[in-house]
Amino acid sequence: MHALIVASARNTLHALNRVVSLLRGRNFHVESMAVTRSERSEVTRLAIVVDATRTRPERVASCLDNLEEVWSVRRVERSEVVQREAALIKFIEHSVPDELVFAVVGSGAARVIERSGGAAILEIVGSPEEVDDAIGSLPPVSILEIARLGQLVMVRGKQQTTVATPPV
Amino acid sequence: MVRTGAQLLWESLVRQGVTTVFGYPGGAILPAYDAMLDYPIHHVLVRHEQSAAHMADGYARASGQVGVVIATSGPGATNLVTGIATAMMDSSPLVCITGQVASHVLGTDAFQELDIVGITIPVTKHNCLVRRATDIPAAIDNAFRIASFGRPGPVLVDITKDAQQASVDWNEPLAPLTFERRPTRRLPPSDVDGALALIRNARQPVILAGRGVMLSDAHEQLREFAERTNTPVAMTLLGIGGLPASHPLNLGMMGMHGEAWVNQAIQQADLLLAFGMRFDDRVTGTPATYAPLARKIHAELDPSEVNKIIPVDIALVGDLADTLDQLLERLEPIEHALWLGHISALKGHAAVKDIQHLPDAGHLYAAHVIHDIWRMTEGRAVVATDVGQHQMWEAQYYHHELPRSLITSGGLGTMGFGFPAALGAKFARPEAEVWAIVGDGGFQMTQAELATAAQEQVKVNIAVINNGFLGMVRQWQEFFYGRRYSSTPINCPDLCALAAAHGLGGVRIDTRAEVESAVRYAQQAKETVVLDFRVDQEDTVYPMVPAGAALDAMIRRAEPTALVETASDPG
Repeated sequence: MHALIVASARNTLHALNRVVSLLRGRNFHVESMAVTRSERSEVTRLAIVVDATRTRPERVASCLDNLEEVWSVRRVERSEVVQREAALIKFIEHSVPDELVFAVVGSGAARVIERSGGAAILEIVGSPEEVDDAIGSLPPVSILEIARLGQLVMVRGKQQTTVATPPV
Repeated sequence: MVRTGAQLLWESLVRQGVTTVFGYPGGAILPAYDAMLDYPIHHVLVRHEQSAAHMADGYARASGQVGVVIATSGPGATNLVTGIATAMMDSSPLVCITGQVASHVLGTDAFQELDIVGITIPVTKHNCLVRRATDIPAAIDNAFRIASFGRPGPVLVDITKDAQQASVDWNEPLAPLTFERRPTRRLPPSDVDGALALIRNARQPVILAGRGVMLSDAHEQLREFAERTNTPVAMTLLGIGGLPASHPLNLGMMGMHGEAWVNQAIQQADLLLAFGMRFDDRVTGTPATYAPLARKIHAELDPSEVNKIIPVDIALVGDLADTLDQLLERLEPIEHALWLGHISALKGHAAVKDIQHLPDAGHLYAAHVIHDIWRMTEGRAVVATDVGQHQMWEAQYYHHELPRSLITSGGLGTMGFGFPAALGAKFARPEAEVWAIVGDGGFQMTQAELATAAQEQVKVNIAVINNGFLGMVRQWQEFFYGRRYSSTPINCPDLCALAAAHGLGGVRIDTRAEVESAVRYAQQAKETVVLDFRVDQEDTVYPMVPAGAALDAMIRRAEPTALVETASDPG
């Protein structure tokens, strides 16, 4: 079972360093953490996916909230957010039947953005499940590299997830 | 007006009310040390930076104020780390200022360059690198605010040498600064209602008082709450002093080396009121068997501590004094005569084995020594301890009457802490009688600070519980490793000669008959005195809850050789 935590932090490597150090040092089981720019240059958005079977998400949130440079922390339910993930998959062209590539692309979440030297790069933007499905559909021996961005999370409706004004 | 960054640093510290700093100079902090001479700051030159951090920690714990440390880059800064971590684990407010190499050589492995900000991330509440002189005042203000606001902790400010040297126009007033130290908020009414219902319905409640009592200055509220509800109070190691030891509702210390009746009361309780404590593993034994009958209310400032180890029924998140005020507003007197009587019966069984009933057979036991120091200081001295057997004996046999009078490393368990912390406490409270009760192992880690004591002409009394062993490790080897004493026998220099070499007093004590006169000599001497108590070598701290056992599954001293399980003074 996964839990989602969204946070906003000062947009510095130091703030990110403190966040990562906390997550590591507290032995929290983190599935992924996406670090993204926000609508404010001084604010970084963090989307953290926690394995809730092994780590209490409430404790992750309260520990993050104790950091001086983390300005807001919120645990969100999947039902109240939109989740998207982006991934690039490089695979050996001749190892994947054309019909399989067509099927993945035909799902609407993926497209082939590069073909050269016998390899192709597939770009996928979709829900985490769509990304998992696309990767899972390719023969493992055909995959040369995968780069997954981590989850982008945004609450539905007008409500903002990042703080409007960071503390002075 | 033109000022250098170094001047801005000291002006910022002075406006925070800082009068004493503990440190050691070096290349990257030279500009700051040069400027310091022009400000009303007393600098205590230590013999090792770790001791500077412990002194500042002792200063902070004894006074409730922020302790300030200053050191140079590289090794100077890394030597602070143990002291910073000690403060972090026990929520002690420190501001640590380190010099850093000039900003244009950052990242080049310059001489004595080290990423101390990166190194101290896990052991600080906050830290930062300052590269511009104009950023120094805000960084220092922030450091003091963060170190002391809410749950206190250490903050490190690393300042590059060029930032200290740079001259800037600074026309903003650097007036005395005040900021709120405690977050105050009304508790949710439903939480208060729920807590009050549990309190009113409880038949066998126990209060667990921790360091939060001291940090929140909630001593009066704790006493009022305990008295109004007739609830006995068990203390964590760091909670000792939160309620006078002589108070009839004070049970004493709980946990691994807590008195038997305290742990038994907790295991039999139907309600635990955890006030400013964090259910440390040394307090709970194995969590699965902890207080199985009890509902639990946790009054705690830091929400990340709630449900961390022990799930609770109600969490009252906020400043403890404020929380207790809100409960007391609606709390009527409650009687628990049967429960208190039951605990007295538990206590009585152990009390017959009291130290007072043991005949003097010529042996010197640490318990005797600490009991006599307690008796001769009337429980009102400030005592700093190291870590190990003597620390537990101190907690058992020195009955603290005052808050902030026991200064000890609880969370990190840092050997070498006691003596420098005692010096720091003395600087914070020069009027107080200050004792360092230390083991021969821990004292040898920071005994170089005898030179600091001599140079500063600062007076503390040092009681070395000298048993020729790293005693607590030896005890674990005795119980759990078949008495194979691997690397625990330890030599000790002639401590009287060592003291004399520093121009300080020293006395060796081998029998109980000599203890009183030695303590009196130390109390009357003007200089720091080392009392070398040559105690029984293989004495053991009882009771003991083995790691991973239930809290009431204690190893207890065999009856025929029973020494002590309580130190209540019949006289």
